[in-house]
This record gives sequence, structure tokens and C-alpha cells, in this order.
Amino acid sequence: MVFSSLIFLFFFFALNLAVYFTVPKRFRNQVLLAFSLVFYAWGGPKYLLLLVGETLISWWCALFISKAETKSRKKLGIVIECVALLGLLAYFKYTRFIFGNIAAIFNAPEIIPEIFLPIGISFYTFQLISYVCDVYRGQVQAQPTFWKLLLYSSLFYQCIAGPIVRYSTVADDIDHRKVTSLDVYAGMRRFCIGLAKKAVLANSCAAVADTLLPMGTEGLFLQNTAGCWLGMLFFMLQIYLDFSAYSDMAIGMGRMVGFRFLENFNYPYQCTSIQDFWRRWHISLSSFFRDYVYIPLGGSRCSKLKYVRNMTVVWFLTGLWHGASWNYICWGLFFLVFLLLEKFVIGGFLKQHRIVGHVYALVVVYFGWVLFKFENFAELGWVLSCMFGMAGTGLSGLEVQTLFLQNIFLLAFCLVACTDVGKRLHARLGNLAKGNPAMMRLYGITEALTPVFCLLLSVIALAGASYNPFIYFQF
Amino acid sequence: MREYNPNSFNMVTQIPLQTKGPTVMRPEGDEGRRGRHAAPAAEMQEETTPSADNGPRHEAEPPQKRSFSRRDVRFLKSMHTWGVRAFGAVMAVGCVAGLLVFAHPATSQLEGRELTKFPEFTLDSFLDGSYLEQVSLWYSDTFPGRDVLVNLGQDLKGLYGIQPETSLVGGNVQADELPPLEVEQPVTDEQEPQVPEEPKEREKVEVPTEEAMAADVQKNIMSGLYVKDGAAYSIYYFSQEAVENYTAAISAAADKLAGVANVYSVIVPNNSAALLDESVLESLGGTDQAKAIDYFNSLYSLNVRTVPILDALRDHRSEYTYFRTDHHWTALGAYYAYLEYCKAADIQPVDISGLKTMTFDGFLGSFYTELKNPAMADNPDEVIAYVPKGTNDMVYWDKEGEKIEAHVITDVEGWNKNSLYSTFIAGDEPISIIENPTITDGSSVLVVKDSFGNAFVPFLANNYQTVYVIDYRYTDTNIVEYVKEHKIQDVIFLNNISLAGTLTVAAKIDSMV
Repeated sequence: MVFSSLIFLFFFFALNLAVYFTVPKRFRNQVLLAFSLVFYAWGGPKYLLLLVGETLISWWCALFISKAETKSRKKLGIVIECVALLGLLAYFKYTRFIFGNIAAIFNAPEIIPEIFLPIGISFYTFQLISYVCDVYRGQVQAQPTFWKLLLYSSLFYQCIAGPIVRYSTVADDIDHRKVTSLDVYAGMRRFCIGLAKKAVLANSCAAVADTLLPMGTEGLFLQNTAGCWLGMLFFMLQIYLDFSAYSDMAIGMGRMVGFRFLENFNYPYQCTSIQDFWRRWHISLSSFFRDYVYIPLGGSRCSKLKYVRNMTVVWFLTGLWHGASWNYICWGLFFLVFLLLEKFVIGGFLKQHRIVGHVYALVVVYFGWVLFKFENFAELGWVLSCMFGMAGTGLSGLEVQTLFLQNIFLLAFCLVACTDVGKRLHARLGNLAKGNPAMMRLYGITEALTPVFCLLLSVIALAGASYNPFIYFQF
Repeated sequence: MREYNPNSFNMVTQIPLQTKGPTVMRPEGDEGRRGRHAAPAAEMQEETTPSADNGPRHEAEPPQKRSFSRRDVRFLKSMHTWGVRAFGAVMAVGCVAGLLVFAHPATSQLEGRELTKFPEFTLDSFLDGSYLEQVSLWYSDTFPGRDVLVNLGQDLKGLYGIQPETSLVGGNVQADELPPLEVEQPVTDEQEPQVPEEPKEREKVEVPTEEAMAADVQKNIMSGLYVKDGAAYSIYYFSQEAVENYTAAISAAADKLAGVANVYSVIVPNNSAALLDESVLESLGGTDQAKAIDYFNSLYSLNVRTVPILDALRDHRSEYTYFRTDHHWTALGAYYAYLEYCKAADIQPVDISGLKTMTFDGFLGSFYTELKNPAMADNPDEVIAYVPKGTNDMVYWDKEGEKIEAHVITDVEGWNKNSLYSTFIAGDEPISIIENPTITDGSSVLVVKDSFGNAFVPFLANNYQTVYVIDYRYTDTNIVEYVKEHKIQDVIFLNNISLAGTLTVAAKIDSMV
């Protein structure tokens, strides 16, 4: 079940809110847990076992570590945790990839096992590892109650699409949540805005991008230069709006009931360098790699060579985390190149020329998304050559012009939605309202209506998305 | 309770544990400070980070010139409460509406299709998640009032940009290269008789399901639409394999019927070839339909008599031969094809001006349904139907095999605006028969057709005592046996070029001969 579906909104989430706020406070965690398990089971009940199993292992490891008296026993605990969880992740996510590569080199084995990727495994595996690591480092107390840890790992707000919430962030919230009426409003508003961002903006961008770049079909190879550029631009918007909308909804829903998750995005397309981009993009993932891979390896306080090694490891893993295919690894290493370039060569220049840095970073990120989008290298190569007019399909065409004109306002709106203009306007309006009764009324009304407006717009867009005119047959 | 601070929406992140110097996300913090503290990924400044501004969360908010007065705070608080109530109300209404299972529609008038059905429960489908996935699909596809919501959704899409007067939709289709016709031979009897493809052990394609064929056909018709001045024109994309299969199937039928019945093939061009200027046509890409039809015809067995109609249609292209908002031709367009058929079959055509007409306004057909083009809505089509002389009665057998009495031309006044084409021979039905009591010469014809045949068939009723119609998409009747059984003299395969060039269609016809 995805957040941006009518059944989630009006069936699951509506019932969740209704039950949550009617039961006595002491049962609220149980309600959340029950709903979370149902939510997870919706995508295939058998994988619930995996989630519960991984949580059980982590629960036991953490307790084992916290009771261990010697350092080596503590180490044993963390080793068990990592081997078990990373092993499961590798099995479910990377077996096919590994076998495929082996098969490509040695022509054997011939049959590559078919393994279905359990929903959200990349996210909850990392959450649980971070929990056990934090216990190992003595930064959080081990959770003695299994179902409370399960609540942490399975909480439907963030379980399947992030952000990767640290246990320390919610440890207190599990037992002692405080919700103010402002939290409820602000969370609800955040959720509605996120929903509209996904259902209206991201989905529409996706439709244009998919029309212009129909992956896996012959149609892709007919696209012209302008079509490829425009298609990738819409994809770039789509991927940010989509992903950040999910984080918005997770953070919003969490806040409505008193969980305070960390921000996961900070207007990444306003970055002024690649380093800056990664401080703003999927923050929970990059900080995970920072805290559990990069720093333990020695970080930057070591020789240049080791630093390069550390960075390479981190960016290889970052790429690999995004998907079991070489193009994602290339994507990670692509950023590595620019990060090293910034570190050793152009960093100072970029700091002084922020506009140049901004343009440079966006161009790099844009081409990064080309790498990210195409798992098939034949398609990837073709699109890149087409973008530079070397595919012989022409510069532009009527279809591209049509799509561009038909979506020109959408494009403009999405470009603005990627920046903090909306937030600034909101703050500005709030400031203007101070001591000005007329403005205050306007401000108050927009406050009351914005969320419900976004919600209604989303419902319309979601229903409209199922529009599938079947012209040929009439019933 | 904490102080109600209406400005503190954007939750500021807390401090991740690892960095000793805290990492504070500062949505609007000044740049210099962010540079030192934002959560890094690449340049990771672990221990070195000073912990100077490990301040309380609210310090991270933008500096406020003045704070809200108490009255303002009270007002905003009540506004927020109203906001939450409005949200709750919408959620409650949506929740209740969604739970009313009986209020979920089963069909969509708007889209002309059956909506997703509620799945049957099986343990397997439950465990692998497909059952609940199907439930989700059913829920969103049949949400109460969805036609209204869908319409609003289409309106919303209209706001995304400007609707250009001339546009091209879905043109990225790979057409096969049209092979050159084998040496321009003058039509002589010396032409090497085409060996029927049959023995050549063609790979038997599985007979497609109705749904698969429908999806395929829909894709073919709706890919590559050129839109101009409130009319859409569909582009044709040639598929070598499909054309070979289609012509082979019909050739096989003709060979089996050699000496029993005359077999005719009519390939109906898309409106683009029949109407557009050559120069525009060329600029749109796709395949030249005139050449493609020649290619179709070159592949047929000599037992198939081909009836070219494109030139006749182009001669009359200033007339109303195709709809603007629908992919079908008008009865007038079909009439010009009928005249060509009469020439080929050597029969006396009926004069159209002597036929009684029925006219229906406001037709917004498939192109409109697909594109929702406002210029089309401003200028809808008009359906003119010609009632055959002698009879307006027919019978058909529906998909359940039930025999139903109907009219050749049905009065569709007041029907749904997108289904007025159903005036012709009661729409697409598996098998239909029209008996004309004023003709008693025992003549009969079978039309094997897609929906383009519907506008064509009524004219034949003026010439034949019995007109049989098979819509191959809905029946598995063996055509050869059917012809023999009913002693039919003429068989016309009449199909639109895009459909005839669809693999599933070819496979289906192949399975019926």
C-alpha cells in the first residue's frame, strides 16, 4: 500500500486516526503496532516474518550487548547483528545481481534464482543496524520490550520508504509522547502538502517523463534531442518531489501523534556544490553512511590515500544501496569523482562563486539522474548520445512541443516547488499579519484552508489517475 | 503544555547522536552557520565540529521581528482547529463513502469500460500479496463518485499548460520498414500464384484473449494522434509480422473457399491518410498508408479480390467522410467504400440520396474520450445514418449466445454522447443477420469486420437478401465452415488498417479460418 492511494488515505489512515484518538492513551502504542503490521502485511503477508525476524535478532543482539561485560562479547553481539541483517539484505536484494555478474563472467550458473524484494527491507535493515550500533556504543539504552522495538522498526510512517529514523530519535517518544494541538495541525498540514506534492506534482511529472522516455520499449529510440532533455528534466523533478513527498508525509503523520522525525531533505536543488547537495538530499541515508561507515573507517582525519579509500567505500555503498545494478554503483562513483574534485581542486573556487557553483551542481546532479534512471546500459548510452544530437533522430518534434506546452505551467510550478519559496512566503505572510488585522484574517484563513485544499486536490488527482478510457470496447 | 507558537511549523531536526558537535538542520539558518553544521554526507566533519550553538530547537526559527499578540495567537489557534476539523471531515466522508461497498460502481459510463472487480479470496493470493493488491486496485478504481472525480481530475490536468492548436500525442512508435513491392509487375495472369502461406509452418500464435486484443487494438489506435482544429488524425505504424499473419490468414480462408465463395478484402485507411495534405502526412512520421495497403494486397493469394478504397476516399476528402472526435468513418465515408465494392463485385449500388436518414447530434467519440480536447467539445460530431430500403430489422446473438432482435439503424437519441456510433447494426456483436424481404434472389454476403464495418454493412442490405456479419473479436465461429453451411456467395473481410496490422487481431482471425 502506498501513501498516495485512495485506499491508504480513506481506509487505512482514516481508520488509524479514528482508532488512535479514541482508544485510551495507554493502548495507543498497541494500536500503532497493529496498524503498522497490517500495513506491512498488505504488500505480501509472508514478508512480515522477515521484518519480525530481523527485529527479533536485533532485539536479542542489543540486549546481549548491553548485558555483555567484556568488550569482545559486545563485539560478538554486533558481529552477529551485522552478519545476520546484512546477510538477509544481500540475499534478498543482491543475490540476483551477484549471480548475474558471476554468470556474465563464467557463463555459469545458468539459472539465476528468482527472488522477490521484500518491501522496505533496505530501510528497516538500516534502522535496526543503527539501533544495535548505538547500543554497542552506549549511546542508547537497549529496548527491553520486544514489541516496542518492533513498533520502531515497523512503524508504517517510515517503514517502507524512509526516512531512516534513528532509534535515539524516537526512543523517548515511544513511551512518552506529548502532542500539542499545534503538533496535530502542523503534522496534518505537512502530510497534506506531502500528499499533494506526490499525487499532483510528482505523478504528473512521472507521466510526462515516462511518455518522453518510455524505458524498455522501442519508442525510446525514436526520441529526439529536445525530448530527451525535457524528459530528464521532468524525471529530475519527479524523483525529488516523489521522494521528499514521502518524507513529508512520514514526518507529518509522525508529528500528528507526537513522533519527531528528523528532516530528510533540505531543498537539495538549491545546493551550491555536490557536497552541499548531499547534505540536503536524503539526509538520513547520508548520515547513516557517515556515522556507521565513514567515521569508523577513519573519516577525513587520516592520510589522503585513506581518505580517498574511505570516500570510495562510502560512495560505492551509497550507489549499491539504491539498487542492485551497475548503473547505481556508477551513479555513486560519479558523485565520488565530483566530491574529490571539490575537496582537492575546485572547492575554494565554488565557495567564492556561489552562482557558478549552483549551476555546476545542478548540471552534475542532472546527469547523475540520467545514470540513475537507466539500468540498461544500451538505453543509457543511447539517451546520452541523443542528448548531444548524435542519435540522428532530430533536434525536436511536434510531440515534444505538444508535451512541453501542455505541461508548461506544471513545469514552472514544480521548479518553484523544489525551492524554499513556499516556506518563505508563508513566513512572510505570517510576519505581515502581525499587528495587521486584515492580513491576520487572510493569514488565518489560508492556514485553515491550505491543508484541506491540498487534500481535496490530491483526491481528485488520485481518482483521475485511474482514468483509463477504454474506447474500443463498449460494455 | 508548550507555548503555542504558530510560526514553528517546520520542525527543526534534533541532533543526531554521532556527531559530538551537533548537527542542526537549519531550514532558514544563515549560510555561514549551515556550512559548519548541516548534516554532511561527503565532507564529514566529525569531531571537529564546535558545539557552540547546541541551542534549543526554537532558536533555529527565523528571527521574528515581533511575536504574535495574544489575540492573534487565539485567532490562529482557532483557525488551526478549523483546519484540523476540515481535514477530519474530508477524511470521515471519504472513509464512510469508501466503506459503502454497494456504492462502488461496477462500470464507468465515462470511460465505457467495466471497472476492476473485487477479487476472490484464495490463500495463495492472500499470502503472496496479490489479493490485497487487487483489493486496493478495486477500491481506487470503483471509488464512489469516481466519474465526477475523474472529470475534475481531467480538468485539473487542463491547468497544467496550454493546449496547442496543433499537437501530436504518443508519436513514439517504432514502425517497421515497409518492404519494397516486388518488381512493379503489370497485373497479368502470368503473375506467379502466391503460394498459400499455410504449409510454411508459420509459428502458431496463441489465440489472444478478448482483453489482450482489446488492449492491443486500443494501443494501436491511440498511438500517434495528430490533433488540429478540434479533430484528431491517427497515424499508422506498419508491422511486418502482423501484416504477414493477417494476409496469410485471409489467403488461407480464400483458398479454402475457392470455388465456393468470392472473398474480398477491404482495408480501411485511418483518417489521416484519407484526409490530410500529403505534406502534413509526411511530416508526422508513421507509415505511408497507400503504400502499406499496396503491400497488404501484394501478399494476398490470388483467390482474394482486393478492393482499394483509399483513392476514392481521398477524392472526397472535402466531404464529411470521417469523424473529427472519433476514430471511425462516417456512413458517408463507408458509402464511398461501398461504391468501390460494388464496382469490384459488379453489382448495382443504391443511390444514397434515395435513402431515409437519421441524424444524431453531439457525438464526442473515442478521440475526445482519450484527449479531452476542448476544441472538440466545442464542435462535436454529427452522426448521419442511412436506413436501408426494404427493412430496418436485424437479429444478433450476443456474447452469451442469446438471440436478440434489433434495428439496422437504431435511434440513439439521448444515448451517451460517446456511444452514438452504436446506431449502426446495434454496435459490435458476435454474429448478426439482416434479412431483406424485398429481395428474393437468394443472394447472401458475409462481412467479417471490426467496428469500421458497422457503418458499411447497412448499405449491403440494399443489395443482398441476407447479410451475415461476424465480428471476429467476439466469436470463435469457424468462418470457412460458416460460409459453407449457409451457402454464402460473397465474403468481405473489412478491417481498419491499424487493426489489421495488429498481431493479436491477425492471430484471432487465423484461429477462425
